[in-house]
Amino acid sequence: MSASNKTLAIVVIVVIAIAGIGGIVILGGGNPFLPPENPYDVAIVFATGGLGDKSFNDGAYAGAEQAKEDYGITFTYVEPTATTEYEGFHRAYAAHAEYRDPYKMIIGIGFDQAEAIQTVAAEYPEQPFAIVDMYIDPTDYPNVTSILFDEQEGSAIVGAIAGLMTKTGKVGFVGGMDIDLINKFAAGYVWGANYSYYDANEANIAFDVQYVGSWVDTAAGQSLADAMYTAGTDIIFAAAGRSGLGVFDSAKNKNGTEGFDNPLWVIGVDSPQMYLGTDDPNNPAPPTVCLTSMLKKVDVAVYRTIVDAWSGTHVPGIKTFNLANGGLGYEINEDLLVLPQDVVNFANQLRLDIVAGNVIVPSQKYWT
Amino acid sequence: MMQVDVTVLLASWLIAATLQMSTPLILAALGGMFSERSGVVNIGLEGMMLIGAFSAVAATYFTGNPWMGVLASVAAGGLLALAHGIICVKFKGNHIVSGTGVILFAAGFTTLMLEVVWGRKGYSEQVTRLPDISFDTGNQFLNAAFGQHSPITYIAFIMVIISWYVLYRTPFGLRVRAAGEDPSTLDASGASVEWTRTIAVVISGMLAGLGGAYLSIGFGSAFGKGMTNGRGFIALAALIFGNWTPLGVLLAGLFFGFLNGLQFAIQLVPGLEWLQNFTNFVQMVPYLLVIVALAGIRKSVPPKGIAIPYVKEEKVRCPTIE
Repeated sequence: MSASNKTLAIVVIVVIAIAGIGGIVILGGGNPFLPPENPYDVAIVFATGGLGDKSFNDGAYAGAEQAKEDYGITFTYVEPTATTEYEGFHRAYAAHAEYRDPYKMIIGIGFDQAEAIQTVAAEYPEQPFAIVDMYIDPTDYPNVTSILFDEQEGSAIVGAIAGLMTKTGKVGFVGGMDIDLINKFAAGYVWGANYSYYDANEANIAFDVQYVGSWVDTAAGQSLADAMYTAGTDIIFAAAGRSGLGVFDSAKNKNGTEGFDNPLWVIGVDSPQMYLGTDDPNNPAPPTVCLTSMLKKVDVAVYRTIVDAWSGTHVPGIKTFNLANGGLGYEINEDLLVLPQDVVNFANQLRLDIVAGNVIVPSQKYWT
Repeated sequence: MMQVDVTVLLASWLIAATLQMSTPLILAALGGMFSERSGVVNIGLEGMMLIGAFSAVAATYFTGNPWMGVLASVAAGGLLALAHGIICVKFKGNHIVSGTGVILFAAGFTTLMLEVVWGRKGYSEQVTRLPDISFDTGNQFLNAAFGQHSPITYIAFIMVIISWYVLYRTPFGLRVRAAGEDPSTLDASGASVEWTRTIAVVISGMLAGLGGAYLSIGFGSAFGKGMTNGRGFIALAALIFGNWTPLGVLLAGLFFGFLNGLQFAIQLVPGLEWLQNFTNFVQMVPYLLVIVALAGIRKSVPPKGIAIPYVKEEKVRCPTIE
């Protein structure tokens, strides 16, 4: 190849390249050297339990799906497998290196993302963040919204149901870990159980509050529930992530066996779990061992946060969800189990009283 | 009076819980024993248990028969162990690195397959449990303690006896021990060190897989992501604390299972409430004991040839003939 041919080849290549790039720009493809537009409005960093926990992460996912359905708000997500990964994912979303524009909101699901979000929120003060289940001081981190629940209120309602349904006069609570968040559930539950039990029997209820020490160990949860049922508890409120699912196995195995004459009940948490208490949860049919579930409507909270961020009406700070604004509730599924009418009435009355502020539910362990 | 009753009931529960919680530990630790006695370190027990737990649920889900699940768990554990064995024995890879790979692979693979099989993340659908073996002893205390246990629990105890017999009373057992203590002697006797070690590693995976199946379909009824929750490592601890012998493994497994139940019991027995703050301490005890054992307070003797890949001697020409 002669020298002039070489030069010609280079010129042709350069011309083709320039024409190609120019064509993309003119035809509306945007500048090819810039990253593409961000196809997502919202980014979600799930808790380490991952999707499929049938409670927390799934609830957040459902809320985001709902927002997508109602308003076409798009979202992307990651499922970290270890708490150490949170910070990297938040930073990656906040830096939005592969997209031109930032996310309108980055949501961290779960209290243990607090440190990661604080670190990254300080680095990217323009980027709005939200964290579910954790209080982050808005004066220090004005771009972080804390989504909080008054779990004790919902727990008090299911506790009241337990207090009226117990035959042994002893109710139990299985928590994931001995932390303030879980103790909010425990406090409301024990308070509510005693509230209704005292109302009916003029005596204080007996209770056991225990912790599995893990969120994923179903076998340990089952073993602990076995022990509590053995010790005379007949209703257990399970707030222990996947470990709590072991409580369902325990109730099903022990129900009706020797030494466990009373019907044994479980109370589900976060999402409707009554179907999990049936013999075949894929085709739920009565009977179920699950009395009711305390509904922590993470879907409602995430939905509202996403919609607010998308529509521009988002106000940073603290968003509290409680019985009054529909962020909490309890499950009624009459296809599977019909509670006695007086129990339902009592629960509804207690709900009204709490909403009206007539009674105050303690938010931390008040016993020793 | 009522308090005494609760304590007695909890005592019977504690016996049952000890058996329940020690079953997966004993099985996995027995597996680890075969592997390590043959000279291959197996820190991948956790991964083999996890894949066993998953395969058990998946096979039960598709066939409707939990015994097929048991078979699948043994096969899957064995298969994963085979990979570990080939890496360590044939390719003389680092045992620890390969074992870590096994754990990471199992964690990722089961998570992925959860989504492939059930289209969901984190938790499988519920499947039929392995029916318990239950009998009536005529005494409520004994019934609560021994009356209802999974067949895998019985298998675990039978496996201890079989393992002892195989290891100390059969030619294969002798080869396994020789491969771990002094592979060149085994080689000189004409047996293949590589085959002996590979087979021992596969056995270890089969037992660990069965231990995983116990968690998912023997005791529970579904697979959850990461449900083994470090039991593979506790099994390793039991193996070391049990001094690499079947009886030691049995006792250490039972003891660690007992501790597992104890941490719940001390929360529940009336009068022991003040111990509540020590439940985390009880959880720590197995690891603490291993450190104590390894620190030499108690004589702990690993096989001599452990973690050393065996390389056959080069054939050298005898100089006198020339």
